[in-house]
Amino acid sequence: MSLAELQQRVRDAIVLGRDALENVSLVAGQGDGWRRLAIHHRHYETSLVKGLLRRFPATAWLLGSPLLIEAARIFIKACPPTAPCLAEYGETFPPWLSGWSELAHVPYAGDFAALDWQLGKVSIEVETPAVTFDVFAALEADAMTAVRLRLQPGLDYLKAAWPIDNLMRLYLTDTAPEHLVLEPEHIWLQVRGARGQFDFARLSESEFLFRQGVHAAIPLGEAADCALDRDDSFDPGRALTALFTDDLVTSILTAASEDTCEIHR
Amino acid sequence: MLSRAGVGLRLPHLSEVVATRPPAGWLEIHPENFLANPHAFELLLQLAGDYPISVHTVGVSIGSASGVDWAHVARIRELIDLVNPVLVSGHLAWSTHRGEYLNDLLPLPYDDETLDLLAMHLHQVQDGLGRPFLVENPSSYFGFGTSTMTEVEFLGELVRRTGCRLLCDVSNVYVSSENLGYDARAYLDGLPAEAIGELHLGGFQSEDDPDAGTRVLVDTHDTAIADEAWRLYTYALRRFGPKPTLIEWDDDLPSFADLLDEATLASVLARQAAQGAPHVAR
Ligand SMILES: [Fe+2]
Repeated sequence: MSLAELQQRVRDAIVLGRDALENVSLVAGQGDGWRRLAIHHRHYETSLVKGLLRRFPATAWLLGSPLLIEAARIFIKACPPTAPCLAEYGETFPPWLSGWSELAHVPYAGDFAALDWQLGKVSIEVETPAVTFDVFAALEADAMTAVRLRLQPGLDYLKAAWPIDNLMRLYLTDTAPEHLVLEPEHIWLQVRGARGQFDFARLSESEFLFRQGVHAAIPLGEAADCALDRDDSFDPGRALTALFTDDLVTSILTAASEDTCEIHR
Repeated sequence: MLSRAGVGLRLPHLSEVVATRPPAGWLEIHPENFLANPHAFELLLQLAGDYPISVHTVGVSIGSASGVDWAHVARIRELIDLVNPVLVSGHLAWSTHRGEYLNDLLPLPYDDETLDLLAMHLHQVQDGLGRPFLVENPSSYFGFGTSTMTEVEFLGELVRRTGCRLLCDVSNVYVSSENLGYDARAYLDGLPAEAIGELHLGGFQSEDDPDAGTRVLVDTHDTAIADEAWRLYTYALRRFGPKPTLIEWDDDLPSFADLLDEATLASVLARQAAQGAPHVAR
């Protein structure tokens, strides 16, 4: 048996908990090799489940730890980590939760977990010095629509079909009432954080589309068009100025030629 | 340099260490904790000016038949170029398979195929990192019946072929020797002393294995270093001479001061060994 075949079988034992590996001989002194192999399976399960619980504290509050542990146990078998930095593991857990039949009665669980994930993600970022609007204003007027902006690293945009931001505030302030009725409602959120802090705020749909486009580094003109398609009263000038006054812009990328010119403050 | 024992720096202690600059001889980090956390990375760079840093990766899988994750090696290289560590190390183990990361250090069969693979990967990883890469002996719960070499023979051959240096985790030697039934001191005697560049000490737990009527030692890094490991450490010091020594603790962390106490004991034992003083048992 090649090393690659052996490692595939051990992988299956560890991830899936299979307790027998055909044609593999394990030696363990006085002990039982198969029981010893199970130590690695147990470590895989306990360490990753613990990691997911730590990564989704608000979701554990919403669903209760036992249910989230059950979900995590299934998830880690179906979707093992694909990178060695474990803080990056779990991004696909929220959409997985959305499709988990046990949570059909909690239709907002996936959206809520996505917000939980984003808050953790932005809170470990760092803010970098922001560019002021006068740097942008000094550009040639006819080049402005082709400009792309780079925004703060601890920034993200997500939309949801439920008022999960209100629910999150109940968690963060520990003020959940005994009973709460949640009605479906489309919301558009900006999540921002750095150095252990985070915050989130609702945007209008057009503002969200503009900022999401700018965040994805599409040209300003295209981002404005996305917003205007949704709402013809959208004011691109005011929206652009707000990006600068909120200290969100960290660099301005112009593409006057094939070369990209990066302007910092 | 590194004459005093170092301490593993984990994220829960990071702010305290930045704020108070405790008297640690040096700090060892897992780069995987910092690469995914820009704020922690920012704080690490502040510490790198004040402490010697050792980079100990748990994510570069030199034993994987499906290959090494070169994108991860490149990320570690970026960190290394900024931190300028005094030591860089990893494990005689595998942890990834076909793009999946199994979050553990898994045992290898010791045979010619594995040796060829590790020698090749080790050359490539050292090229990729631009630094010597010390290889740490694993803690094992089982071995493979198809192995044609002992672990000591395998490590000796790896050193001969690649010129690599070794990180001898003394607690791992004790754990494996108890679990697999060999003599821990004979293991240390068999390692090439001139290749040893660092020593580790970490805590482990004993579990009963009632069906087999035995116990198994599990390398948990969540408790104080056992007396048996301290005794084996003094033996290792006599065998290898004083080497940079690290206190490893990863889970259920005590206060940083408690870690410094263990590091102080390691430093005292190393000084005694250097002076030829008789062994002080705990
Ligand atoms: Fe170690």
